[in-house]
Amino acid sequence: MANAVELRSIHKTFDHFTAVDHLSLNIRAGSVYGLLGPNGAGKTSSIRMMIGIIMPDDGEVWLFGERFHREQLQRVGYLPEERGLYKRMKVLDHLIFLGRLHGLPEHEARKRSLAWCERLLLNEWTHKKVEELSKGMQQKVQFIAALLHDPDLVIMDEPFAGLDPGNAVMLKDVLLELKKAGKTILFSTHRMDQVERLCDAICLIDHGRSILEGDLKKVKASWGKNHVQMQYEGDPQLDGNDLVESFNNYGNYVEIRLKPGADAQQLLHRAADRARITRFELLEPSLEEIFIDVVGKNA
Amino acid sequence: MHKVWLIVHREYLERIRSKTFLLFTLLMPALMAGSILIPAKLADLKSGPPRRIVVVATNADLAAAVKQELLAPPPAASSAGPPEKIAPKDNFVVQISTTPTAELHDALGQQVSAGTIDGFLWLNEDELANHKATYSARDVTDFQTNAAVRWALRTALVKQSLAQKGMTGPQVETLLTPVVLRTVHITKGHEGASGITVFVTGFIMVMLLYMNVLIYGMSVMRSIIEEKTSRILEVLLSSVTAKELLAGKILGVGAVGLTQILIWLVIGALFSTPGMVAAQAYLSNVHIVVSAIAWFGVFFLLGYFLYSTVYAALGAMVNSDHEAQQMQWLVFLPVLLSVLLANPVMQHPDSPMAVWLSLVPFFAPILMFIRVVEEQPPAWQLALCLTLMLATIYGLLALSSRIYRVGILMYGKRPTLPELRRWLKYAG
Repeated sequence: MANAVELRSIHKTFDHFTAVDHLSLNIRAGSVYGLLGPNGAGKTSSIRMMIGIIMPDDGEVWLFGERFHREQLQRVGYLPEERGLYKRMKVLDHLIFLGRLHGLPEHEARKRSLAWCERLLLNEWTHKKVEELSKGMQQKVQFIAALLHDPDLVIMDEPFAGLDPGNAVMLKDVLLELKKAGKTILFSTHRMDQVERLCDAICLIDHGRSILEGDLKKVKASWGKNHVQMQYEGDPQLDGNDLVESFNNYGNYVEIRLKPGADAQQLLHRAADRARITRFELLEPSLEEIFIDVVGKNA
Repeated sequence: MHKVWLIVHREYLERIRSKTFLLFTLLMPALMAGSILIPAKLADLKSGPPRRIVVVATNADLAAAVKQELLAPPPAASSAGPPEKIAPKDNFVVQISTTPTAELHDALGQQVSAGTIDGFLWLNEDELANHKATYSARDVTDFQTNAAVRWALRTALVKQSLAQKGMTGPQVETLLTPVVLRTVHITKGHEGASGITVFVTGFIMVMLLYMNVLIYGMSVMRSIIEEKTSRILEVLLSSVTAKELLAGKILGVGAVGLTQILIWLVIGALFSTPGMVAAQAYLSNVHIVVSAIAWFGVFFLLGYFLYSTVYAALGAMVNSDHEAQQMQWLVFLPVLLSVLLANPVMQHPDSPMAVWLSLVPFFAPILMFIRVVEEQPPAWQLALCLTLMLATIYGLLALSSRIYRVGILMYGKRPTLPELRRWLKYAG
């Protein structure tokens, strides 16, 4: 399947600060893609370049197999991190306005707005002013605005930041539904638990550069099973062990991170000499560990 | 273009529907009418009850002459001289006393305090020799009465002195008849409205122009700041460009301004007839010149576009109304300056200074407009003025939209000048 988004070595500097440093990535159509990175890594700048809010100094943006042009934006739904609404506009008028800006005819925008409001339990509020709504309800209006024109590519910058728990679950359900419908979803976040649950592929960026990109399963596999969970009786003497990078003793069991290149079997032998091992398991690293590991090395 | 239209549409409807718009649209004509009608009414009220005055003089002839001057309608009442306005007819009840004693002075003083008379004029021969006299009254700030008394005394003295030099009564009257200077406004060889009409029309329109340009320019800035603080801009930018957004906003707000002016014109036309009748004595016949209205529209639009683009850039640079206020003088200064220059230009609309100043794009909306109303400036000057304004607007728009494009995504500190220069570079 074609790529919904291709960034070809895009580059952006502000003054002397390099926000995005020759970043390349491919987002497969129909996938859920996570753009990860610490604050200030260049996630928002990359997204803004993807949809023409700012122009790259160098490199190319391709959407849906074509070089970026503004008409493509009618197929993109964007929920920025900094999101707001006109406070004094009525909810329905506001949604219709945003829908029309994305190319919907007025009657269609009205019909869809009402349907979405009904679905997200906002139907009693359509004729209220935005400022009369609670913050949670305003968040729902913002989702609707991003999805009203049934975009093929949905881009959400830190969508879960500041959401109340109810809305977070609702957003997750909506995203999964969109995925089922074959839409491409890109979201940026620094919360790894959501990425592990939702994403098919990721790109980890730091200082504007891509450090790790690709299919989530492959990324984890390539990182190797260098974690061991061990249950024992006695003292396996992990302190000063030249195979162990670090360990975390939880009382009932210990989590061990091996040194690069260290052999888990060797560790088992040594530990078994000194203590009675009741469980020994090799684990995939969590994304969070990969994240901290990679970012830590780059810092 | 479709998207610009959508933004214009939203800006326009949201503003027109707001209560502020309704209030301001209705209050403004009320304020204008009030500022014309209330002083007129007040003056009418004042001239209502006659002033009771006692003239005290040893010279009975002089006292009688002063009385006569006070009671008589001033000479040539139809002229536009000062007495006409100061002393309406039949406004005095005058008594004469020819015994200037200290007791009388005290008694009159008490009568003034008690309110049985309004004042007394004490004509002492010694003082008169030095061209002086004393008028004592409860209300010495009643300048109309003071002036009328002074006028009557002076006329009486002049007449007396002329009669002593051997002139007959009719000769004296003829001599004292004021000259009537009729001012006629000539445009393109046609005689038009009188001087006062041109002045009042020009003045009202300049004030309206000045207020509207500033008010609507500022509201462009405010709404940009509001969009920044409400964080809606980035949502909008995912479907429209910053340029479309800026163009839509300026056009939308400008359309609201035009609508308001049109409503005012209609209200003005509906109410001007009775209003003008009431104010007639003070303004003579004010009628609004049609071409002046057309030019008003032109200069409002051009002035608004000029200043609103500057305001837009300002709005994109700051983060709050408070911060904007600190920088507003930048825009306010040229407007204020052109209002201050309005008076000299009004008096000498074809002087070289007026010509050059009125060609400066930032002054033109007010100064060139004054010249158009006062006298028809040569066509080349008008053409040059409009060309310069359009060119300036175009340049400012290009500059502002760059600042706007970068500024609306920047939250935080206000940019310094070197930072601004870099903004212009990013946007390029």
